[in-house]
Amino acid sequence: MQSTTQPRVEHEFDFDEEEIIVGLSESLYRFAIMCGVVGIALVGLGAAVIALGAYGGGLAGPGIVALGLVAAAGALLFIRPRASFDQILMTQGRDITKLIQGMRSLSAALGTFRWILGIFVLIRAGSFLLARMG
Amino acid sequence: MATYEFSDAENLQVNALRRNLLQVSWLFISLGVLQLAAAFMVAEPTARWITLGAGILLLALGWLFMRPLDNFRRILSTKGQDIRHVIIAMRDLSSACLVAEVIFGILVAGIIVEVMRLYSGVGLG
Repeated sequence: MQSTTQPRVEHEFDFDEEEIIVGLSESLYRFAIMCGVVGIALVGLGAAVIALGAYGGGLAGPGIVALGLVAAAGALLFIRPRASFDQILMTQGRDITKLIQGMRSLSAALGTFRWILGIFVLIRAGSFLLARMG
Repeated sequence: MATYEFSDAENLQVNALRRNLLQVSWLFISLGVLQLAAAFMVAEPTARWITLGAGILLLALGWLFMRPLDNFRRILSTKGQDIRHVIIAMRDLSSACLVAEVIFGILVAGIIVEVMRLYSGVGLG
């Protein structure tokens, strides 16, 4: 018996749908830039803490610098999904494959961002508890 | 909008994105709750209002990042409306990113003010 498997016909996005995809692509790009700016600002704050011995000295300054560097590096991840989303607009066919590629990159970026945010939450919770005990 | 159904492999990818987005939303909400709680411990009125405002913005951000989740869930649970749901989810995600940009801008301004306060000797430390 001969197999007659037909290739799956992918959906092609129309103009309105592409407008929304462009919107998300641009928003993600700006989000990445702002995330990077936060990272650089944190590096600056960390450097000031080290220079002035603020926040009790110790690991506070290097910790803030490290967090800033991670945030700046994490920001780069949000630029990657843009390439896949832009491919949907610039080329014909296989729109769903490109959409899924964009989603995969976005998911990976959010996975890293989750860790950065988690560290922020822990630091905030720690400082809150220290203030309560003090 | 056209009727289209994602394959199982594509649904797995949508679910992975939904899960990561959910966790990020809850982390923003946790940060917002901590910020609100901290606002009641700040003695200086200006600092208290800034902390309170930051807490509310973070809670709003958590809620905004949760908005696309319903549509991502519907992609998995319903049949034939996947394109409509994915487009709505992308629009909501785009709005969340826009608000996040504003909040990050405020955060950067706060960090700059704190650096200036540190150099003038009145910083939080």
